[in-house]
Amino acid sequence: MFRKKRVRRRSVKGYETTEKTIGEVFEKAKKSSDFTTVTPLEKYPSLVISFYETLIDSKVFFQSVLPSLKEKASELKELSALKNIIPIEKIKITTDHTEVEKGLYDGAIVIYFEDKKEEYALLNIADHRLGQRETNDTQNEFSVIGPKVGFIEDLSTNLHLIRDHLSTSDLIFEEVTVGSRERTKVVLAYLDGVTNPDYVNTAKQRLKELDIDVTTDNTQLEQLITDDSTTPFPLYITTERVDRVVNAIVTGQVVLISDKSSYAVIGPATLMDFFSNPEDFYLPSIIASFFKLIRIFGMLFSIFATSFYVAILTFHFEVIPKDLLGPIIFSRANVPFPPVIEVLFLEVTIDLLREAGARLPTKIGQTLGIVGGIVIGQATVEAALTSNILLIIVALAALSSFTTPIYKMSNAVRLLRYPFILFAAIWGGLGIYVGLLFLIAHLARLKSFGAPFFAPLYPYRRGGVAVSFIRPTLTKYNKRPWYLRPLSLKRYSPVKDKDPEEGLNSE
Amino acid sequence: MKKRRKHHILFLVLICLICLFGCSRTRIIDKISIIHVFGFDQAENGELIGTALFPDYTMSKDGDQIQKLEEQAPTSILFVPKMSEYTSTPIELAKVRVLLLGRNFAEAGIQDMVRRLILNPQIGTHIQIAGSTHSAGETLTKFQKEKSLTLAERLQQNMQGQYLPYMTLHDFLNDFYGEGVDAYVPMVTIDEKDRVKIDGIGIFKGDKLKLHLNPDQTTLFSYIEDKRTQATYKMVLDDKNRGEIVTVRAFHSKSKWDWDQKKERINLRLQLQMTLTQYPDRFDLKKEQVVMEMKKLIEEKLEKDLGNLLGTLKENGVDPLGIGNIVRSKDRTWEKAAFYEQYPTLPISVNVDLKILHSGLEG
Repeated sequence: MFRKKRVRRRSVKGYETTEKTIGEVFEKAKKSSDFTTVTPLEKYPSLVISFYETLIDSKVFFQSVLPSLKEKASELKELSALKNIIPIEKIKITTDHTEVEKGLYDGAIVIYFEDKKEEYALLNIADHRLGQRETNDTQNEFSVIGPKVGFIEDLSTNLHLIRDHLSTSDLIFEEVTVGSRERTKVVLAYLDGVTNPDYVNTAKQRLKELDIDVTTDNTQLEQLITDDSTTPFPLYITTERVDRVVNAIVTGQVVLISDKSSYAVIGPATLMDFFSNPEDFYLPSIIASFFKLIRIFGMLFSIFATSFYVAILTFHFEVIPKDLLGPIIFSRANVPFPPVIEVLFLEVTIDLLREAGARLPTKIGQTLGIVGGIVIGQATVEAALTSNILLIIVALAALSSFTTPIYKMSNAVRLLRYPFILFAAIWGGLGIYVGLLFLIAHLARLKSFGAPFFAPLYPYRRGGVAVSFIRPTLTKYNKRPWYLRPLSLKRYSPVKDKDPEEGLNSE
Repeated sequence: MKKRRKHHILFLVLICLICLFGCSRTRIIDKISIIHVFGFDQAENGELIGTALFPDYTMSKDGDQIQKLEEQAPTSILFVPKMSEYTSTPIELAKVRVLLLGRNFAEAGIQDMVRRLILNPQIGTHIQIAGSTHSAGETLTKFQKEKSLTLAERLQQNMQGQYLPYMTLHDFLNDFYGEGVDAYVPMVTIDEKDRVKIDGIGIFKGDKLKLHLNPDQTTLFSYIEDKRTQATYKMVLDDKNRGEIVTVRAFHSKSKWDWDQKKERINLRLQLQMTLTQYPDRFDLKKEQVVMEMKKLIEEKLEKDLGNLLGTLKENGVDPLGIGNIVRSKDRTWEKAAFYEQYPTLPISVNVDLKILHSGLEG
């Protein structure tokens, strides 16, 4: 169940159809209705422009490319002259047909002479933002204070957001193309001189050797390059918050950003990273630590609350205080099922509600909350299908699973309950500990870009444990976590204040 | 292939584990009868009578539907099977909170019951054990009529705030099996108005109840035995005048025993911190001299009363304070039989060192 499987990768690439000649490239493209070929100049009918209408910025095409072509048509004898005619930087003259094909898909127009089919001029006037959303508020990782800027489904915008935030020449963007059919651009972002090159190389190697036709999102890509594809735990942090990504880069982690995806992937990640939130750094350290502890408690409560309910009510009634016996037994008196069925019934109901709520449009979703929360909850108790007390416990457990900031981790936490409930139903308290052993053993085996996932708790790393549970004051939190092996450890060195001892207000 | 076989083995091991341990009988909370109080009595023919009280929570949330089961059996281990004949759900002893020993039973000896029932691992040791001046069955019937299961709370709160010395089954077993010390239990009684109340302690000699101390004696006993006791003690200075009463409430007490081997005598130094809750009006406690006078008065009175208490214990040959154990800790040549032979005549001098914390405020 918890065994590790290595994903085998083939070295042979290429299921895509490869065009042999330039003629075939154009012939194939002409099958699509959005591929257009025009001859703009009557005097030179041999001058042809070909492009995909759906990819280019038509404004640029009609307002600057065509007018300047027509104005200075007389100067156009060779393709190299285009650079003087058209006021666009990205002009490239090539003879390679694969480059032409790639250029077409990237949103370039191809200019060439019908009678001289050796040379092609590629003018990149792609419109990246066409069809993209305008707003980039964080949708799923909300914070009350702090910036609310999130990524959108456009690579260049996302890169702009990061570069704008972190304007240093140490910030390196390395581009890798992934997908034999789609050719998605994936950018590896890291801080030169800080990030351990091993992580960068591992990530690059995995991406380069990845054989996949189409990846629809970065979160899918993350699963393809993950260290263990059978675990329910996410091994990398997926985030849409710019500040989180910037912070990760500065601490020496590698960030993957891919085109058409609004999520960035951060690795190597450790388990406790998933319970911290950018907002922790905007709040005072005591308050942030308290909320971080609350989140960790919420995770534990969410996993274990219902399984302990099952174990105690089925096997260990001794541990219930005397005054609680009455309410628990009384509320369960009319329930015909054993505790485990009762619990599974409610847990599945809650997950059904959550799943339905996630798929429904927002406006209907609100009604669902009322129907699910109040009507179903009350009705099941009235109908003696579950007990009142269980309803409270399950609702609290569901609530506390939502406190985990990273959605993928909160899903993993939600799933983990079910094996624990079953263990508790079979072996009671012993079963929970057996399950816990399996869980800890599994966590200890996980790796993220080759770095231990459960660090600094296991393998124990000095100085990292406290930071995993609380957020120290910023004056003390001036070093990168050394167990992630950054090349430089110190981030900043705080200086002592130079205030007079009795304070500035003394008379 | 090898990996697959490994998986198979893991899977088989899991199946075996589930089958082996997973078949333990479930005890679902609303499908059991949870006994709260268990009483023991001696029957006429020498058999035991067990009385159990358990609430039926499925009928009422507050537990006021109390069922009583009374069963006679030759040995205590047979109570549960016999009682089960009357109940629809299995009887579980694991949540017993008070064990009540009827007077006749306690005087006849409890060795068998302790060995067979109390040492049962199902029963915790952080529970109360108490004796009853009437039969346990009678006392428990009163509780059933009262519709309350508060015997444990009644004992606990008297141990925390009043004169009972602190005692749980754990301490009881320690004393019961300990060398040079006798066990004691708090006693309950039924008063004239048919209510159950706490009434001093009962002291065992061996496994038989020997001596019953009244509340006043128990208060003095607590001063020596329990260092956190808050017992109130009343001293009458003049029998004729009602105003001549001094009451003190303990706050902290510390007893130090010294064994003088040459003279074969024991010194008890008792350091008490107390509150003076009531005193006759003729004392003006604003003056330091009067306070010293008062202190001396109380010390003398306490010393006298404590001496009487120790005398009573020695007379009956019981040693709930563990004097034998104290001597044993200081004397290598201690022998149980020899010590208890001379125990009734053992000279014990009591020296009370009183500190009055404040006066008058607490009522």
